Amino acid sequence: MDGSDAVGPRVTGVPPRHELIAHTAELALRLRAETPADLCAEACRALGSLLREEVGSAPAAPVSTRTLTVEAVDADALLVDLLNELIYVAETERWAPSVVDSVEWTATRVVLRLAGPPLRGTPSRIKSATHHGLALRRAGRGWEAEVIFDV
Amino acid sequence: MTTARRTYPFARLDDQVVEIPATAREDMRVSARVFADDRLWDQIRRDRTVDQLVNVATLPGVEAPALAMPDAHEGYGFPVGGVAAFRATDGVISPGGVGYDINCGVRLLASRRPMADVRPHVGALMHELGRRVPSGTGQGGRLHLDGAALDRVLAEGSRALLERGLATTDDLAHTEAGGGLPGANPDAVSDRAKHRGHDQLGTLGSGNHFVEVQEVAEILDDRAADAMELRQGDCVVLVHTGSRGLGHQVCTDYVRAMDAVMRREAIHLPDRELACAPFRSPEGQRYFAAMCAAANFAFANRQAITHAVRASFRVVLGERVALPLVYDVAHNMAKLETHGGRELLVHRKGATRAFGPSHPETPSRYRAIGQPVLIPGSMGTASYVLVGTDAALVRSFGSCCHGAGRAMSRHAARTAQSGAEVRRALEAQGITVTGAGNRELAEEAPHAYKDVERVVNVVHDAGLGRKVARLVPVGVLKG
Repeated sequence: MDGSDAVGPRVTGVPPRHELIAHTAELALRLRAETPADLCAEACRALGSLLREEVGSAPAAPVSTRTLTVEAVDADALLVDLLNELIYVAETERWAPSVVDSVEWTATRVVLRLAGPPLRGTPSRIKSATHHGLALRRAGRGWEAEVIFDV
Repeated sequence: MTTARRTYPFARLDDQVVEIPATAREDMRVSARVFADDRLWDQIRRDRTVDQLVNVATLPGVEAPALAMPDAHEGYGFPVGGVAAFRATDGVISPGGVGYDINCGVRLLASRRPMADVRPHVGALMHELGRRVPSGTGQGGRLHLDGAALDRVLAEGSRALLERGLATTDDLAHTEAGGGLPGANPDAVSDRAKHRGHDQLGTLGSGNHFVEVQEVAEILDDRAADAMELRQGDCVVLVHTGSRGLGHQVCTDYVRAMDAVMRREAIHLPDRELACAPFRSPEGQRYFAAMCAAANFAFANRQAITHAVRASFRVVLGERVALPLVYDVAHNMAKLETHGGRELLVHRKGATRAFGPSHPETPSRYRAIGQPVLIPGSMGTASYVLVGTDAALVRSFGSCCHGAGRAMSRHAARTAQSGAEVRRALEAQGITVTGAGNRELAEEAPHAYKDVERVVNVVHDAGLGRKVARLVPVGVLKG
């Protein structure tokens, strides 16, 4: 992977999306987007959605924003570390993102501005994102990754 | 996952063991063996369990063979149900080989009271248990620990709860490693991990964790059952949980930290989740100290829940129920053990230690029969109590299976039967379920698991454990 395609979110030909895929015991997520930056943004939305599905949003609570900066040795580790940062924040601060306002990405550093309401409870289902079988790879005109979470 | 599953040559060694030779893939250092009869072997080959086991067989310093138990299934890095021993001198330690829920484990409490006395009160009992044992997405636990108190739990495990009145010396004597691993160092545990764990002692968590009130349905070994004070028809309690967010964060921290070590040591892995370090390296030693500390937190967590269970029984049934601890065993751990005269670091991920009568670590109470081995089934099927054997020390580095083992993804389980249907089916069996939403119930439904009877028969026939008692659920508090 080269680190030159650092970009923010944009309207693309490959709409970002995610889906759950089969795994005997854990939770496996497939992510697709036009750029690695969009993929990181979609990963945040997907995990935020899973965490919110588990515990719900706090009723009538205001949306708050926060900026998350994560650094890692390469793009794969960056994605795992980003997701683990979100798991940590969700468990200790009862917060998860529902909206990604902006992304700045290189292969070893990502800065995201995220927004979302607080969670209603403390999620405990997802223990961690893992490196198992993970590889950010080009797929058609976009990028793809599969992440397994220990649950 | 889109990664293609590879097929490997194998040979059936006997009715319970299949071997994949060390020549099956060019990077294997040792052979791999799967304990399974034909039907379980067919199930195990459907996902990536064998790929993952073969990956384990490539790790530096691994001793032959890498093993999978009959409840094995696809995990991440190691398969769940995997056992691998590494030479302490030149082998590695792998956080991914232990897993995120460090010392997830099970303990069994005997009530010495007939279920007939308890059954009329099961509804009230489950309500009280749900009130005293936070579960699922629950809030922090009953015990909020400040820095010094948490460090003490990390250093001492269950022993730290003695002076709080939450444990007894008898409890410690009947917990693996006395409820505290001596190699623990709280300083090796990050502030983040401590922050996640500071209010989680005494909580179940989610997924397949539970407190179950069960009945001893059948005694299969009178002598061993006597030693454990288990009688047919008695009420017993099984507790399954681990080190909660603290352990998860320890694993997350050290998988990340191993990246740099592997580059320095030129360790090349077929799967990055197998991240490891030479056991004797500073990083290996530091992870071992952190893992032992997280394991101690898990022992103490199950002990704190035990106190809550005893209190629940007292409230509902009166003072006469003592609930002594039969035994507490770990499922996810790396331990330094001596096998064949050599010091090995035995990784058990979703596997149980099963030491026989002759092993010095078998508690004195069980020296004539072997260490109790606890095998939970799914919430609608049986659980088993076994004892470890001396043969297991030779065949499986003193290891046994840890449960029925998942056979179906969570999504497939939800599709097959709704949570409401699962709840109705369990209630029709006379099983009271509390604490879980319909989604969790559907994901943990009995049909999502392998046949526990078949799994237990394989380890019994293979000589890894000997069946003692069969337990059936009456009340389930789900995480």
